[in-house]
Amino acid sequence: MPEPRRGRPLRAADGLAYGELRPPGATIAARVAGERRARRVRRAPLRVAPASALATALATAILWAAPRTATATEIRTVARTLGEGYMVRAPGTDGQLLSRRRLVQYINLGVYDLLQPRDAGERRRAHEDGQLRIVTSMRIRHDFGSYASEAANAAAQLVKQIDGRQIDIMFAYLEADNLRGMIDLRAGRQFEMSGLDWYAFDGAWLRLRTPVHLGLEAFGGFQVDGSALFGFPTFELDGTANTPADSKRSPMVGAAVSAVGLRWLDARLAYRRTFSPASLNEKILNDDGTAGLAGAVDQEFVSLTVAANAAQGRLSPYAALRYNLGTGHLDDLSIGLQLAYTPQHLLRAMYMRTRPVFDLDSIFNVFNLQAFEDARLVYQVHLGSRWTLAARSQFRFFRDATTAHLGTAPEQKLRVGAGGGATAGFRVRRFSARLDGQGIGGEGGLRVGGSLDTRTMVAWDRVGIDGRVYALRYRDETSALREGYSLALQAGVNVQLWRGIHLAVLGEEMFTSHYTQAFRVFGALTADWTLRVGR
Amino acid sequence: MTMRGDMSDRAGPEGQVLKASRWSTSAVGLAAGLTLVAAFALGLLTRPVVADGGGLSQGEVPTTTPVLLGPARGGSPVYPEQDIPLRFNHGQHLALKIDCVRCHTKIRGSTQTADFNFPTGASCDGCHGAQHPRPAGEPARCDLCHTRVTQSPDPAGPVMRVAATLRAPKANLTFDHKRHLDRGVKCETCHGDMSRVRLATALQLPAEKTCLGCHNGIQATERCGACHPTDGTGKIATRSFSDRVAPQLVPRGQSSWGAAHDLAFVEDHRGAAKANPKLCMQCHDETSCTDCHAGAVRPMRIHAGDYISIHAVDARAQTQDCQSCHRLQSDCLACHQRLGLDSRGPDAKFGVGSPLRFHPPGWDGPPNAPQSHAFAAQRNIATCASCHTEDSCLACHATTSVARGGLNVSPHGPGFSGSMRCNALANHNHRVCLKCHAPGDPRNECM
Repeated sequence: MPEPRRGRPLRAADGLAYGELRPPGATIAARVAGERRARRVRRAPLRVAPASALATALATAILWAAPRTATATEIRTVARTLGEGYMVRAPGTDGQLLSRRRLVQYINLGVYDLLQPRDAGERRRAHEDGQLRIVTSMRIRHDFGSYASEAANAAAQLVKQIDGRQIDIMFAYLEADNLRGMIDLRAGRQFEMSGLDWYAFDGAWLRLRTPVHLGLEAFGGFQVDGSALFGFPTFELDGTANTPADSKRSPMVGAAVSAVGLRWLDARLAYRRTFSPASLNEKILNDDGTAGLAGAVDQEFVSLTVAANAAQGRLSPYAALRYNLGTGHLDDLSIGLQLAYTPQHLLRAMYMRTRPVFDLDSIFNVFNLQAFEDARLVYQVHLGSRWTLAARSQFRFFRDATTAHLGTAPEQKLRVGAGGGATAGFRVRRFSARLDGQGIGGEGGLRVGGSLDTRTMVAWDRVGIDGRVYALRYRDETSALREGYSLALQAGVNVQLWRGIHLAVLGEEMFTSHYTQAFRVFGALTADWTLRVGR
Repeated sequence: MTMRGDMSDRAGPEGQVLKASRWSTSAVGLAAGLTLVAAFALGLLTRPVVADGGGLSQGEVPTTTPVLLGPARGGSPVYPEQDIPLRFNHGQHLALKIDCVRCHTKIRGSTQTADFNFPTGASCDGCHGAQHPRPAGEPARCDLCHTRVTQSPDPAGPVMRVAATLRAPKANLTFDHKRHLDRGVKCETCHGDMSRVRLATALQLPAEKTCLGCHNGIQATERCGACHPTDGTGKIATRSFSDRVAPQLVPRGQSSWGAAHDLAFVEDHRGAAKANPKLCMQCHDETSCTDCHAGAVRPMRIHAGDYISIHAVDARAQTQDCQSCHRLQSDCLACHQRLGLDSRGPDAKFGVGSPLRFHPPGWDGPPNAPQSHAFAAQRNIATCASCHTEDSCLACHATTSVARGGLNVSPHGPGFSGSMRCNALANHNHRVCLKCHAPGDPRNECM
């Protein structure tokens, strides 16, 4: 009897060749082709936008690459309702109190395992055979408090942008994973989290994996910002907000070469350019006196990331650097080394150097000359299965050097801020606690504090009782008014109502230098279900 | 909330506020309620099958301590706690040249970890004599192998009771013994030298570094999901969906690839996440990132206590990188303008006529006056941008020849003109130059 498992050489012997599974896919392909023909007839006079051409090309690529079966087999829905209520005080002698009553509804829908297993005996299609899935997340949010409802003028516009019952499509994409053993693809609204940045875009990302452990990537689309349909401004670069430059969608292209499939090394060299549309410049006078500037560039980065794993996992160095071609600065650098010299002991050292990043049409880039530097060291030890102890130190370097030409010079060219902390964790079957103490000083001011977190499981582990005490003493070096303490007591429950359904409620009573008391409450209700259909 | 001193008597008209927003509150509340009811109804009608092990379940929101630091029973997330009430000596048997498959009879056909691969009592009987079942007249020798045997008070009397229940939950792994054995992998390659082992426990099950000896991307796949079970999303199932105290699969020690989730990892994950995002994505989906970095509401552990009063200290030192979650010109600016941290508009608490001053003396002024704002701007202009727009800078730094007209105070240091930085800025987006310099200004050419 032939071995009925995964792996290309075995498929013929399995008697499960593509041909036998082709009809459903062929039907879909025919339908798509028919719809495309009909669309061509209806939209013949229209100009074919680059995005449409890209989408058509992607659909064609997927249809070519995907095996000829398509059946939705697993649907995951996550409905999460989050609520939060607290007050904020406006500065000044009147000290007006503004209420914040925020409600956020997330609805995530994922359709997974769109392709059936090659082998009838498999519960889930093997990774080697490729897979398609659709992943979406939507968010609706609103603030019912006086903070939002009584806002006026310029503030109202911004507050509404953030908390004004806005519908955000966080992400929604079709993902192809390991098609034909070499193609990974995502099409739709998606995030990129890498050495380049963390940002969202509407478009496509494609990776071809070559047999020599090298991946060739290309991606393009439009950056997601507040002007996009159901877009959100979270990941939009600052600099020219609420100007005409902020209302146009910015095309973006990029490419990368990466190492794939190696256990001891991950590396990626990536490039991304975001364009500023020429239509923004139609009324701007050029240096020669003519109207209109050519299209420009809003962002252009090159990044290199490397992570390695050596000495059987004992030594793990990593580095991520990004060079901003628009400002001529190395604007982001993270270097780290983790040393796990025994299973119980761990040491991590990190160095980071960052600069604030703005759109290239912003003059903020002109002023930004110095980078923040940050060095950290962490040591952790496991004492048996119950106790974990950790210590952490941090040093920050602030440089002031290049203002002499302005007629003012800093007292010191280099100042150092230092801080540290210690943490103890304890956990057993029904109880866990975490005790923290930390302090940090230097630029800005001083903060010293500590906290104790506990969780106790009761009622057959269905109910988790949470408690927290948090104390902080602070002093702002620029204003004696911003000096004081805060003591907060938190208590709450996290209840498993049913499998996949959780309710969390947490209340906090706070006492500070400025408030005799302040109460806030947080609640979350989540239903996370997976349904299997068509099987 | 009540404030100290007379401020508490001047709280805003809360009742009016709530009245004004009653309609929208009701409508959205009703919509949310109906959505939940519909979700429940859908779930009941379609008989949901909740997956065993759902990756990072979104069901449990971390409110205080992160979920991965919560209470947990013993054992490891891969090999749950075992209870094997047997007496056995592997070394003794191997010394007699007894092959592994002689006792582990089904191992060559085993394709999954759920298979029961322990020797049955009957397989022992071949050498130790019939005991399973015990023929009539055959003396009971249960305590030869079983450890929980209750004897009758008379030592010579019959065995009264044997607790032979063996608790060895399946390993949370995808593993195919048959596939490995067919490729010539020896038992000792994974399980080690058993000749010096008595009763085998979880210690004799392969550690990750043993697997990675072959699963290096060249001999065999290095993909985490090849061994660690994944759910429908393709992510590794790191915790039980319903057992809230089951140990969770968390990167730790030598298995963590530089991303050990230690007690300080939340503060320090930035570098590892940028350098090796593919590693994060083995377990985390986008929501793991967006919940905090783009979350409209975040767990109360983040920014706990009176953080609103304290956040300026962090912002000035960038102790916490505010921009990793907050956009300066929407989040920060909106709140600052709403609270009147501004010198313009009807709600402005600062500016002409107000006793309040945000910046210290000597912050700015006419040319040749102290300009300590320059230090902040060149080092951390992000904090400036959380209140100011470009217009604030242009008021002084623009040349006098542009339409909006500044004071011709150049922010460029010596040697800027003609520098690589000057050319980079001008070539990438000339619009930025024209904000301060009029068209035709020779300085626009970086000369």
